[in-house]
Amino acid sequence: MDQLELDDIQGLIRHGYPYFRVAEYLFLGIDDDNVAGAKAWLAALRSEPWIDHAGLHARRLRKEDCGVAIAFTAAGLQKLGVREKDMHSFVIEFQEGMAEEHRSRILNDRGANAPQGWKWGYQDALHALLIVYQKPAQEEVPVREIMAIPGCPRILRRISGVSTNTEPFEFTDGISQPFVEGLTRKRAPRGVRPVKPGEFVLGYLNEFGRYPASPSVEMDGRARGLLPGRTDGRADFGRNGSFLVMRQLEQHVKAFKDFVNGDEQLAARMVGRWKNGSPLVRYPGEDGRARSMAELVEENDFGYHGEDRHGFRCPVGAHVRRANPRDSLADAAGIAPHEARALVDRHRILRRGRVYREDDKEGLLFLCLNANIERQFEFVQSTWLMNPEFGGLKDEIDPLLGVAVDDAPRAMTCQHSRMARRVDGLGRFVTVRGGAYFFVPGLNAIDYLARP
Amino acid sequence: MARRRPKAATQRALTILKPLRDASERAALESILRGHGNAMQSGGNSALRDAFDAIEGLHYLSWFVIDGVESASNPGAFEPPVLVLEANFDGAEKAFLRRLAGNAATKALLDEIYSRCSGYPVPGSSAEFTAHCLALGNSRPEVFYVARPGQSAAQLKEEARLAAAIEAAVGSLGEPYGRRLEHLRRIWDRLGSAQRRLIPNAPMKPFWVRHSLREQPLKAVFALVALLAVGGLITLALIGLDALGAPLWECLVPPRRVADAALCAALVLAALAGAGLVIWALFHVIEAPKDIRLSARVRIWGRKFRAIFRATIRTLPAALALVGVVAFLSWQGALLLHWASYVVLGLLAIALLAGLLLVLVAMRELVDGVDGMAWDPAKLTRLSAREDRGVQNHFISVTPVKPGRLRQAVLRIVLFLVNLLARVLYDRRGLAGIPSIHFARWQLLDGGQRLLFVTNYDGGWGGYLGDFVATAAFGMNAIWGSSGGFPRTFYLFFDGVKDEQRFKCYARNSQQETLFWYQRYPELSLAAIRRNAEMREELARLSEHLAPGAAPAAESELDAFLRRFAVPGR
Repeated sequence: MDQLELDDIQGLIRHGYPYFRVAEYLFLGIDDDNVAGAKAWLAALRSEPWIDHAGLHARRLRKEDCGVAIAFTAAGLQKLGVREKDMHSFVIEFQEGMAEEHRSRILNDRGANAPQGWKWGYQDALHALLIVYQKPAQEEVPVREIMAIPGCPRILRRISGVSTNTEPFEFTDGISQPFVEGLTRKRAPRGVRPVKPGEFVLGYLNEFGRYPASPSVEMDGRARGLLPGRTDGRADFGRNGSFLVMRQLEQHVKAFKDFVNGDEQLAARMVGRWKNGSPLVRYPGEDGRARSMAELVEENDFGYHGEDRHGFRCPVGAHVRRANPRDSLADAAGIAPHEARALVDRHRILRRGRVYREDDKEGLLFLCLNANIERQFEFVQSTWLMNPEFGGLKDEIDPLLGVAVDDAPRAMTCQHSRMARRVDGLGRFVTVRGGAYFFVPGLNAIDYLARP
Repeated sequence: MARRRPKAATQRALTILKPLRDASERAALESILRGHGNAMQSGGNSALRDAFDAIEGLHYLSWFVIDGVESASNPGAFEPPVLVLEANFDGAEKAFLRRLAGNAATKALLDEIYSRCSGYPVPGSSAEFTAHCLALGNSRPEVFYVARPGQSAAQLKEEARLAAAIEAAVGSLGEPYGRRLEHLRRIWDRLGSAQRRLIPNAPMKPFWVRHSLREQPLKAVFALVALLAVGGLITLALIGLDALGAPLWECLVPPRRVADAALCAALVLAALAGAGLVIWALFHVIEAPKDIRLSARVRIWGRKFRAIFRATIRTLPAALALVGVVAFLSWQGALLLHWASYVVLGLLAIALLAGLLLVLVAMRELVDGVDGMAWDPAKLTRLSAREDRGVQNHFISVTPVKPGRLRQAVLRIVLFLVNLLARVLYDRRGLAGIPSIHFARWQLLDGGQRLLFVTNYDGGWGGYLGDFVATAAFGMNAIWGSSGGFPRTFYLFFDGVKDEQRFKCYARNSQQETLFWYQRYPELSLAAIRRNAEMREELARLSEHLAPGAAPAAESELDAFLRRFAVPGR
């Protein structure tokens, strides 16, 4: 296996920085008259160095003041001097962006979720995303220092996220994460199949044994000495980079609580886990015992096919069963459970989300990393979460994230050994408030962008 | 007794190519077709939709325009673009075209469109003559795949209605109460009399679907077991008689030569295997549901034994014929070896030829050009404008076939074999394990210069092409590997599409815009179509138990049926 060039990969790809409780998300726009300034600012960010690389161990990072990561939209890269011809080497979904009309149909961003109603990401001048992870005691220091560097782009919007294991509906979140081969020195947890690094970082072999499509630029004076060459004579801009998907998901806590009306079993069936994170497949009844994240990860080796084939315990349409079907699709695809698991592993995402609160509204800032947006994030969203016929179901989409076109009440089916139960009257519990696709360049690629 | 059920319809495809009179007309023609297509899709022109709906047996129909090829007589110049009409329908081509040209609204559309093409009569010609002229431009696809062979468009619609009626009937009763069979009777009584008549009266599936190995593996196993067992046992008897030295059988006993011994050994092994299979089948098939009374279980066993007995009796003539052949061959063992050697030599020659072709292809593969990965957002916006609007999608691709006789020969062989496999190995899970394809076809254009692929499928484009990579890589490589610029294959079958993103980029770049697309049942996915058919079959089977004096249905079978349905609750 190729050794990962950890010191060229941004730290965000390896770390979620849970020890930095606060994350400041700065949405940046580069003004036309500030392009040179922005480049200088970027160069300063690199020379300090502010931006982390993945070679740093979590133990060391913990002692640092902050962690910084930067990502760019397609418009942002073009603004920083990536030629239009070179932009065509980026995968189409990144070029088009999340708010494009056809992508909205794929992602089911319609009705209340339509990009026209977004706070950001739709036809705005969003060029880059700067994430500053820090400790609460530091207050503003790192952010202010970064903004004080001359040439800092305009801040269009700013959201702060908190590191917590519990999302606003009070469910434990972030238990299932793919284990990326070679990214850490740790061994894969029991029952977890390691996933090839090429699923998350460009320049390495993916689950198909191929290299993910990597954007390239012309090998000119600007690229020479910085970016590695490719066999076709161009410079590999994408190497050690990744694609970042970001969505602001506002959660309507009151609507959810009113609907569930204290029925913990129903709430658990919608999610597929109890609030304490224990999976319904293993625990059909609630035990109420609090569990640590380590315990939950240890317990995360369950499958659906062998333990709950028909969905009598965890409904087929439950959120976690849709988002990561594990071996649940074996019957539908007519394959063995372990084959179904391998198939599902081609659609994993590395989640880096955080809970946010913005003018009294709370929700999840969903962030995920993947090397192939179309096969990973978009596939999970369209073929599993928002598929009305997922796993043999009929006319129902994800109970938590789903939205009907005209906000009509939706339904969810809970399988039962006699006749299935149809839970009616599901409202809109989550609304998309913004979203964009970003590219997280490797450090050398950032240097390339910073060059005049 | 089994009723005489209606015959199944045959699904066919037509591809009518008509060159435009002049290349300059292309933009105008495209915008006309796009206009009609959009109006029909968005519901703006319901009259046109109704007109197409009225054409019996039509499943899908589309129009698109492809570039003309380079002129043979005048290199550098191009033939005019070609308008392609592509349709999937039930029944014969001519009859379908007559229906298409016989309908006033569709005839007017045909006249409007084809007035810009050559090879079409003056507008206002008779339907018969128009159909004839259109048929002249038709050619048959090299590979044609049908997801639900024998299921006519009308049947698909009917089954959707029946499923809705069944659902309503089950839903109105709610949770089962009392005995299951009584509950089933209540469901049955809720259905209208027309539905009760229709449900058990589904059209017969076509012969090659009914007898497909994939569809009824058990039946095939039984037939094989019966053949092997009977043949083997008789051979054993012959050998036994030989050992006893019975003079009467002397003429039938094979001379003791090595070849005969081998043949006998093979037959003994086959007989043993057959006996093993019978035992296995007894254990696995005769397993009756556990939740019913013993007397009912015995009755079920009795029925299953009778079924097996009947199946064996039915295969007996074939078994006896085989025994005859075996007896003759064991008598004439030397002759058999002689024949076998020819067969083996022939197979070897074919394998060698195939291997040689593969090596030649592999040598070309090394130097064949591969398209770079570049996505064109402007083209994609145009292509995806009508994509993912509903459950179903349409995809057309035209790729250039690599030059040279070798590629032509290999491609034609591959297409022939794929077509054979797509039909013979009819699979309930779809083409090569892809469950979401309604219809698909590959067709060579311009005498093999270009390869056309047209398909009607469910779900998103990315997931669909992803299925090609995940489950059908071999076949896709073998077919598209002969196309210019395709991701590099290795010995025809390997690599290629496994470079998933390059393949998808190639597929997008070779995609043609669907200008006009008609779907008979846009709301039905194949999953729904299968579910509807299964619901009908299950209820038809269960309803047999309602007849007076019929054996009781197994509780588990009824429960499995009821589990399909949901009742309101928490």
